[in-house]
Amino acid sequence: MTMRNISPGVWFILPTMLLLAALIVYPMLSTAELSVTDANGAFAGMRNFNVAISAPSTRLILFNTAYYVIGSVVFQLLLGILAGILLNQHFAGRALVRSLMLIPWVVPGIVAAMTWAWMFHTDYGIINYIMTQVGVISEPIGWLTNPNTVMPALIAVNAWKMFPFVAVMVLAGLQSVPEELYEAVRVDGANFWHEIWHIMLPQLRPVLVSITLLLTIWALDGITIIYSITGGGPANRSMIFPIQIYVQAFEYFEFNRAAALSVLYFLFLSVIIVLYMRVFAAQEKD
Amino acid sequence: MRDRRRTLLISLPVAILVIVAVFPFLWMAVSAFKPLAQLYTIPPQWLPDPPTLENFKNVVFQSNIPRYFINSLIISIGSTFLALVFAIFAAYGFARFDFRGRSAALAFVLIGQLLPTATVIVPLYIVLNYLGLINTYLGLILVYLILTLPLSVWMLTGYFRGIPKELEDAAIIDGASQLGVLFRISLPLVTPGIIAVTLYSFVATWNEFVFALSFATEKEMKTLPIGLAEFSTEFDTDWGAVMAASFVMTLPIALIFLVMQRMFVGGLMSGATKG
Amino acid sequence: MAQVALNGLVKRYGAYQALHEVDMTVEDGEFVVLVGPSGCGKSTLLRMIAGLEEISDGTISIDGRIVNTVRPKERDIAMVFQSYALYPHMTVRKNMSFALKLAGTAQSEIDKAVERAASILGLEPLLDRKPKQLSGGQRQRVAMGRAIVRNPRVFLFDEPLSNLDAKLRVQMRAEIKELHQRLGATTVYVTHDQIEAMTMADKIVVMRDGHIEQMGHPLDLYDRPANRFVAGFIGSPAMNFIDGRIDGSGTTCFVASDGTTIPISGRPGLSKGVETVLAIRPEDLTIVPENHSGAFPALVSVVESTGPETIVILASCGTRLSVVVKERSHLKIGEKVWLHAEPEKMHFFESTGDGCRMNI
Repeated sequence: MTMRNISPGVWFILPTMLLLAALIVYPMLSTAELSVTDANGAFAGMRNFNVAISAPSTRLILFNTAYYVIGSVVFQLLLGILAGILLNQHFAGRALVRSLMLIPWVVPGIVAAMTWAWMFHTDYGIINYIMTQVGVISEPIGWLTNPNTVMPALIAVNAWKMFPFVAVMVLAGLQSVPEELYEAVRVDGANFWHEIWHIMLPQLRPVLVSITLLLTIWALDGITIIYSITGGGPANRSMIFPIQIYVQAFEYFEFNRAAALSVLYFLFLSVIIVLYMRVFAAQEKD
Repeated sequence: MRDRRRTLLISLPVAILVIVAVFPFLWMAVSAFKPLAQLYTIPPQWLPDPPTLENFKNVVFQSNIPRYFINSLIISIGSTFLALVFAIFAAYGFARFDFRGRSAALAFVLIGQLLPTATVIVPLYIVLNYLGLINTYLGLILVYLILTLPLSVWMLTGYFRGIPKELEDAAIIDGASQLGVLFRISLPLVTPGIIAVTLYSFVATWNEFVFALSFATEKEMKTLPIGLAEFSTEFDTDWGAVMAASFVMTLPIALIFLVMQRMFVGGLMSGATKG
Repeated sequence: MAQVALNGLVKRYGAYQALHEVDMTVEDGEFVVLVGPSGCGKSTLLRMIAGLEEISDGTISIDGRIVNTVRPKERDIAMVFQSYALYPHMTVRKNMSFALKLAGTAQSEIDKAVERAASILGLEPLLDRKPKQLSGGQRQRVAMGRAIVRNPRVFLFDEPLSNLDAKLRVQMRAEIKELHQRLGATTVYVTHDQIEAMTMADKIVVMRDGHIEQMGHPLDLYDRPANRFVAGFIGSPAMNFIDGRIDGSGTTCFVASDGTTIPISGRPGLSKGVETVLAIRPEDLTIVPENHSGAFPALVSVVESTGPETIVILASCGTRLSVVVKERSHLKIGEKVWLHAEPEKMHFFESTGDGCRMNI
C-alpha cells in the first residue's frame, strides 16, 4: 500500500487516534498487566483478583454499588420524565421554568455535593429543620452519618443532579411528536392520561432506552458526589466500586490490587457500553 | 372554568419542580452571605441579616482558592484548546471521508467518551509519574483530553456533516486544496459548533474531580473542585467559606450558561444524544 | 475553448458498476446535454469530467491531453451545482472571486473579471450581498457568474434549474442558452428534464443504467429514436406504444393484441407474423370520420385542455392512447371516435430485449 492510496481521511484522524490510543488503550493494557503482577513486576497469576474479591468488604461494596446505581437511575428517570412531560405543556413562564430547571445539571458536581452536605447537616441543616417542622420526622436525623440513611441521601443528590438531563431529552423527544397525533387521539376521546400512556411513552421508548444505559454508566462512575460527601463512610456503608479502586491505589498504594479491581470494573462496564453502542447504532440507522 | 382548573393543575407541579431545582442553589447563595453566627442557629435563619462578605473575604484572602481558581482556568483552557485543535481535523476526517476502519475508529471514540475515569487512573498515574508530569499543568491538560477530545470529535463530526458536500466540491473545483476547503469553507461554517464544543469542554474540565484528586496533590497545582472538598474535613468545616467558594466556582459556569443558553442546551443535546 | 473526449469510461463502486464503457466526444464550443432518469449515471459522468470522482477505467481527455489524474483545479473547468453551492459566509463578490484569488490572480484583474461577469448577468447591484439575501433566481445567476468569472475551457452544469419554480426555469433556460451563444464555451449539461434537453442542446446524450442509449441532434432523436426507451423518454406527452404483430392478407397490416387492425401500407420490410411494438407520437394521431381509410376505433376516456391544445386520452388497441389536438375539442367521455396515423409517422420497435428500432 503506497502513501498515495491512503485516504486523506486517515491522515485527518491519525493524530487524534494516536493521542487517544496513548491516553486510553495504553493505560488499559497496562492495567491488565498490573492486575496479574505483584509490586515487583513478577507474574502473580490471579492472586490480586483473589485478594481483592475475598476481602470482607467486597460483598458490601457490590451491594452498595447496585443500590446506588439502581436507586439513582430509577429516580432520575422518574423525576426527569415527569418534568419533561410537565414542561411540554403550555403555561405562562414556560421558557423561564425550562431554564431554571437546568440549574442542577449546570452546577458543578462538587458544588452540588457540598451544598447538599450542608443541607443534610444534622444540627443546622435546612432539611432536618423543614422535616421536623412539617412533622415528617420527630427529631433530627444524621442523614450522612446514619448507616441506614446515607445511601438514600446520596441517591437523592445524584437524582437531583441528573434529572434535568432526562427532562431535556424527554422534552426533545416529545417535541418531535407531531401535534396532529395528539389532536387525533383527542378527537378519538382520549384524556390526558391516555395521551401519556398511548402517545408519549411509546414515542419516547427509544430515547428512554439509551438514556437509561447512559445514566447507568454515569452512576457507575459516580465518584465525585460520594467521595466528597462521605468518602465512602460511615464504615464503608456508602463505599462503591470505583471509589474502592481509588482508595486502594491512592490511600493504600496497592496498585496491583487496584488494577485487578479496575479490570473487573471494566469488564462489567463493557457489557453496558456494548449494549449502549448497539442501541445507538440501531437508532442511527433509522 | 376548565381552563382555570387546568392552570391550577399545572401550577402546583410546576411550582414544586422549580423549588426542587432552584432551592439548593439559592440556599448555597444565601448561606454564602451569612455571618458565622447566623449559619449555626437552631432553627436555621432563612435570610442573612445583614448580608456579609466575610465568607468571601476568607475565601479570597485566607485560603488557596484564588490560586486554585487560576490553576483551574489554565488547565481548562489549555485542555479545551488542545482538544479543539485535534478534534477539528479528526471530525473533518470522519465527516467527509470514507475509509476502511472508519466506523471502528468512530466506535473507539465513542467508547473513549463513555469510559469511566476510574478504570484508567491507576496506570495513568504510573505513566505520568514516569514522565514527571504529576503535579504539572501539562499533566492534567493531557489527561483531561480523555474527557474533552472524544466529546469534541463526536460533536464536531455532527456539525461538519451538516455542511452540504456540494459546497466543498465547489471549492475544490475553484482550486482549493483539501486543507483549503477545511479552513476557508467548512470551518467558518461550523462556528456555532466550535463555540458549543468549546463551552462544553470547558465546563467538563472545570468540574472534573477524580483526575485532579489523583494527579494534582501538591498545594500549588490543585484545582478548584479539590480545593472545595478540602474545606470540609471530618471534624471542622467552615460552611460559610465552603458556600462562598462554591458560589465563586459556579460563577463562570453560570455566566457561560446565561450568555449562551440556547447553544448550551443545543450542545448538551447533540453531545448527549450522540453519546 | 476545448474538446472533451471520453474513451471506454467505467465507474465502479465496489461490485456495483455505475458506468459501462462510455464513449463520447464533446466538440469545441458544443452544448451537450446528458439526460436520463435518476440513477442513470449522468451526474457521476459529469463529476468524473470535473475530477470529483475517480475514474475506474478508461480515459477522459481535454484537448487531446488525458486528464485522468489531473486535479480539478488544473483541468480548467467550472461547474454549476444543483444547490448552487454558494459559500454562505461570503458576499456575492467574494464568491465570484474565490477561484481567481486561490489561483493567485492580481486583485485588479479579479475586480475586472468580476465586474465583467456581473454586468453580463445583471448582478452589479447584488455584489455586496450574502447568498442568504438572494432569491432563487439570483442565486442561480451568481452560481453562473462564479463559473464565467474564471473563463474556463469547459462549463459543467449539474441539474442547475431543478430547484427553481416552473416559470423561472423557462426564463433561466433561455438565459443559459443565450450565454452559451455569447461565450461559445464547450458545455456539458446534466438534467433529467427532457424538455430542457430538447430546447438547449446541440447534442443530446440519453443515458440509462450507466449506458448511453443514443446520442445525436435533438430532432434526430425525436424523429428516429434508437429504441423504445429513448422513444418513451423524449417527447411530451410520451409516445404511444401498441403491442401486436404484422399480419394481414393482401395489404400489410399491424394487428394489435386486441385484434384492432391498422393498415401500414407503404412501410415495406416488415415480414408477416413478426411480433412488434408500434409507436406513434400523440401529435401524429388524428381524429377522423368513420369512413376515413385506415381509421381504427377508440373510446374517449379523458379530455385535458391546456388552452392552446387539448390532450385526449382514449382506450383503443387494448391500451390507452393519447392524442394531441390543436383545435378546441367537443368530445364527450365515452364517445366512440376513429383514429388515423400516416404510415411514415409510425415507428416499430422489437417487442423483446431492449426494444431496438426495427431497421426499416
